[in-house]
Amino acid sequence: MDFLANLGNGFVIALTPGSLFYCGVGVILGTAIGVLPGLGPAATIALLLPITFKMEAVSALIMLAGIYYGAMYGGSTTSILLNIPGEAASVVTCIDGYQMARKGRAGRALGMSAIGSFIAGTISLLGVSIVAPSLAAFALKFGTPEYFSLVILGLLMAVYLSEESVIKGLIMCVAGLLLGTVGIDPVFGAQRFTFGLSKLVDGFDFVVVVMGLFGISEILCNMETPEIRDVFKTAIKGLYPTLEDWRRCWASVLRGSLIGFFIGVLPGGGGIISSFASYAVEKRISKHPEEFGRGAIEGVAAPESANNAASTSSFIPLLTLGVPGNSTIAMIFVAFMIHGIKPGPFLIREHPELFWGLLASMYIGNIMLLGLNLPLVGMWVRMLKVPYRYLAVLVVVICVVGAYSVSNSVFDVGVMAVFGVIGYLLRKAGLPSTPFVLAIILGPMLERNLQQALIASGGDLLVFFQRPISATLLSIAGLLMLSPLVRIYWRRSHQ
Amino acid sequence: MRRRFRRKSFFCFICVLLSVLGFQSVQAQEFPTKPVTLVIPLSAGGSHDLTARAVLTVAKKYLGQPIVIVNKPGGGGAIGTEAVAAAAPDGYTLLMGWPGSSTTLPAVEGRSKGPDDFVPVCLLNYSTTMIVVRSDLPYKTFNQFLDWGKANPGKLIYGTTGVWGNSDVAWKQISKLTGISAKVVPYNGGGPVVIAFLGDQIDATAMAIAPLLAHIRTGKLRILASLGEKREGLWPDIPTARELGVDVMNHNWRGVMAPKGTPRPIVEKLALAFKKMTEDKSVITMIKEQFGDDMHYKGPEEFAKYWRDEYEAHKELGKLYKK
Repeated sequence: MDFLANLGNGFVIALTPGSLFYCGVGVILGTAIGVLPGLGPAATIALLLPITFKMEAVSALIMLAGIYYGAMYGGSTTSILLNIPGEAASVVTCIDGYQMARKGRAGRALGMSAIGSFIAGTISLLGVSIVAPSLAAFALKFGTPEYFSLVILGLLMAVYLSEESVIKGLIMCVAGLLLGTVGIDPVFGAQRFTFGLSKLVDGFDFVVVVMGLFGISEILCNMETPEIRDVFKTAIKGLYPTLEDWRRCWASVLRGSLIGFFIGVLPGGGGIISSFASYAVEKRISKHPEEFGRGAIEGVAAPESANNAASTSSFIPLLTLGVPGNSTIAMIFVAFMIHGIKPGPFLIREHPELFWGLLASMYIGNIMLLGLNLPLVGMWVRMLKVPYRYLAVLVVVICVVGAYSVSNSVFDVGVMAVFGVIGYLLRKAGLPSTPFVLAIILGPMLERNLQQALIASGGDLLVFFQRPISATLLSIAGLLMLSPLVRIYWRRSHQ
Repeated sequence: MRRRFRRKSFFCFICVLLSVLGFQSVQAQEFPTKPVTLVIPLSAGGSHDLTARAVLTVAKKYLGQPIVIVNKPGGGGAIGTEAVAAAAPDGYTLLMGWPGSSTTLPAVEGRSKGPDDFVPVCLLNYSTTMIVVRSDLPYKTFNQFLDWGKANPGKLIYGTTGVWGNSDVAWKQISKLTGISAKVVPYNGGGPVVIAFLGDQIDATAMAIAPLLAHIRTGKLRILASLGEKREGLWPDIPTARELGVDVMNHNWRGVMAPKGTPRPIVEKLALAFKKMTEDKSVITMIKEQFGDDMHYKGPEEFAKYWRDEYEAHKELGKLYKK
């Protein structure tokens, strides 16, 4: 057990007072920015980078990593309480988390997501400690055709996880893909649907879109009913998950952790896809799928576990190959460079103290986060006792500040308002917003990978079916598409 | 008492006279009386941001006032660039320019603002673009690479960091000069290009090599040539493409510019202060140790010429590739 000895050395480094201090600072900061939508972990780490110039490398990395996985813990809070996803990987948590809050079970949802995150984080860390290098090789097998097929499968899952009919889900998915094309075309550099506005050249920022579609539209809907206090009038039943909740959830947490761990290794989009893949899996194998979308606790436990496991395993490509998988990890990559360390195949051999110290600090950070988040649950839940007419103002303020802080632009606040109205109309029309949002996020990835794969293959579409991983993913997607037909046929033949 | 008053009023008179007659020079002598803002049109944490932050740690020592960084990312750099072009030309708002939004966008797309809308202050430094290929491929030198590419048209897969980015422009120039052709796959930044290299998805690229260093060390990747003006200090054995007869230069540069109309004395004062900052020992060590870069200061005239030449070259390229 070589890794136990190494990990032991890591703990020696991670348990020094200095490391503990920076780890604590990191996870507290991470929780704070995770709770507040808008300023995300990537921007926070970027702002803090100059401060780390003078710090020791290990301390700096321990702190910055803490911000990253700490934000994953905090991200679910506003999803559950106010229907505003704190970050992309928490969009799915809104579906059942917010319903649980409306039924007076906010504490149990928050508690379950904190404990689920802790378990998932720990499982994923064990995975990273043991199999990091071989998993990195797996991530490299994912070329552009594989990503295209993965996104196709992910989008279909998003369609199927929505409460409404599949047709409505598909409609919204296509609408989201269309909105995802706003901005610069990835191959020719042409501007599309920007109306000459520089602000639209980068497309829509998902944080802005999501706060409008979820947060603002929720307020618009609640304004229709005169006595809004009813919404949260139900007595708050228990602050923490009950034994019954546990019985229902432990398997979901484990499945979510595994899905998150494996999909999270893939650079780009891994965390987001894993969160709704795990939700779709839970809904499909559940004995009571009708509860999903109405406050099923598994619908919170699984995606929250998945996104936390993914945030941990997304360190694998960085630490073993020197490749940053997402924008936040890219910032941590820069932090390595600042301290004269080039992450890559030599990292574990040349800087073992750094690699194992960082991993050990993540075990400790997860424990700290659990200790930090569980007591906070009581405070968050008490917030819901505030009369809704005040709470609504608070939500609007959070959304406006959040949208503005994304790129210090009033334009984004306007975009959010427009999406708020769109979200309201969608609800009135009974159209689901979740596949819409996920398609906006994943659309650019889908398009880019499709174009890249086709350029490299010389325009040959067969490339998606000749490569084994891609072909498998597409076959699963095909089966998913056919499954309603099979069910109809089954029902007819058994009547 | 009276004489003192007279002297005072005389002094006032002189001041008024000076400010009327020699407004600019007085302003330049006083400049700066408040902190200067440097707008970076890119996100925090990138190489332009971090280089600026390292250089500006000593700004107050040489300018007398601190220089404050404001990141205004978006639109490929156009948003921050346009904001500075429209700012008051008083030397208090400066732009950290880079080839993407200061040369290519205005030259090719007519977006953002180029050398016609700014006064160049100085060039701080650059990262040289290098041609890198997978080591397991048959070509071992730049010329063999070109020959192989010409002998096998459409076989080569070249990855870029994004359409009309440095590596894309470099390839367009090389293929225009040599007639080599490839499948050009645009990725979303340098990180994805590295992944594509490691997963054997692409054969070659040209980019600043900091993110590739670890894999050059493992032997997975090989540098064929640099697109620098002269050989790199760190890589004395790597020939430049110009030496080998392919006259293409490509630097990802970091330069300071002021809105058009900024008085000459102020520009000179700023340029001198930046020159001293780039010569400061602590700055040089920070840049070298942290990013493996050198400082390459160029004054207002020299920088203006470099920028203008690049702008014209890209304009030409734009006409060729953009219908």
